[in-house]
Amino acid sequence: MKKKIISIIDYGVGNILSLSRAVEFNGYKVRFVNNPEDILCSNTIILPGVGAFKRGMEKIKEKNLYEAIIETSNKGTPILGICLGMQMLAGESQEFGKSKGFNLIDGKIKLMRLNKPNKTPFIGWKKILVNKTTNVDFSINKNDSFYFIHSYHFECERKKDMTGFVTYGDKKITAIVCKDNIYGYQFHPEKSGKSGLKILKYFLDLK
Amino acid sequence: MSKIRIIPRMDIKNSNLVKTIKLDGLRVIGDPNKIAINYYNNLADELLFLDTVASLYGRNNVSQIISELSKNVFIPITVGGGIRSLNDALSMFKSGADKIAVNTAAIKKKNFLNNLSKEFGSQSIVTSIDAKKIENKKWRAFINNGREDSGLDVIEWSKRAADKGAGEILLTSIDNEGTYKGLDFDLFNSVSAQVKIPIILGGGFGSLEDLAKAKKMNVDALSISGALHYKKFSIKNIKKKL
Repeated sequence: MKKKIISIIDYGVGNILSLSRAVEFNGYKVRFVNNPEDILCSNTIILPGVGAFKRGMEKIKEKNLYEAIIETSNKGTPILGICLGMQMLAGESQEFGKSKGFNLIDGKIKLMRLNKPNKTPFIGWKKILVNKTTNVDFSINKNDSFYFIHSYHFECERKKDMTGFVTYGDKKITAIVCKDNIYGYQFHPEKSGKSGLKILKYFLDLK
Repeated sequence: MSKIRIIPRMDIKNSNLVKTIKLDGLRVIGDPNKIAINYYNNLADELLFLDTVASLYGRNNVSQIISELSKNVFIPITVGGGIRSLNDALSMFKSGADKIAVNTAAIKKKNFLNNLSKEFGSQSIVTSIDAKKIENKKWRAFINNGREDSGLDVIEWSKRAADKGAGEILLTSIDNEGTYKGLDFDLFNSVSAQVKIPIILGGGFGSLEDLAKAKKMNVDALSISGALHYKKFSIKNIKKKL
């Protein structure tokens, strides 16, 4: 059987080598894409990202990828945003003044105001709780934990889009967003050991 | 509060994992790739690679090691040693690093930390501070692998580094490093009182008492080398105590 090809959008941010190795580890092929044509003919897309929101969106637009990503997601192509890539799915961010995102899932990116002893950026491993009302089954085990590193978080407009969450002290923070074919992981599945590889596989296996 | 992150520290010379004592006196431990995979399988939270000679000779062997490692290891990797330019940093990220640790260049080049964090985001920039005690509750930041006194006070420099956009501090006690006599919690507390970013404390880990103290003092992460490399402790055992 021919291996399914996963497109990873390469717009010049973050460690995409590890991400591609995690995809390959799960038995898929990887293609790095950085032009609109390649995005439009992709079957499954991962939008990675680390760093500042505004800079990330600027880089997407510099490479003319914005419209192609919107168009592809409107066709129903599965798309997964990771970390900053997940946050860019939102309508807007308040990081360094307001800036607009893809607006594929209604919500805003806001600075986390954590109470001591939690620090920002939050760096560490957390267990994810899946919203009981969701019908998506990520098969997360009780002991699975995931690696988070972030200062901002995704505040969903609609409760049901916040598919999974973690708690930092008394704060409930979005860990997974999901709306139809659009997925977002705040944590790094490619950096979360075996639990991460498994939850990445869930997305890769989507038809 | 999430659990204290346990981070094996891998000092690299040429293509070997080595162990230092007070950042000096190298001993060869073995093949870093094999040992790193073992730490990954034993549930290390992250890995830290430091090239011990890169900052002297301006070269780096670690990128090859981590690029190979990324086929099998899926936890965050921080790389340091000899990173002096945005290009050096970029080549590390392309080789599979998630964060880079900088010491000498961060001190010598005035805007280096600012530029790094602007380009790659604070979350991927670690300031590595090698602290040498000069008197009670006073430490000096050393550069070039503990060989040279920068003249900077550790607490002052920590504050400035955080302001410049570092996302994390790797704080190593030169005096305790390789001695197993215990972590320098005075050092941690003095810096922690002044900065809001997470601190990875290292140098001297040697007993379960260290773990209890670290937990009590809300240390964010521990960098451990000799105690793991010489199998005085296993990561699994350490994590059971947390």
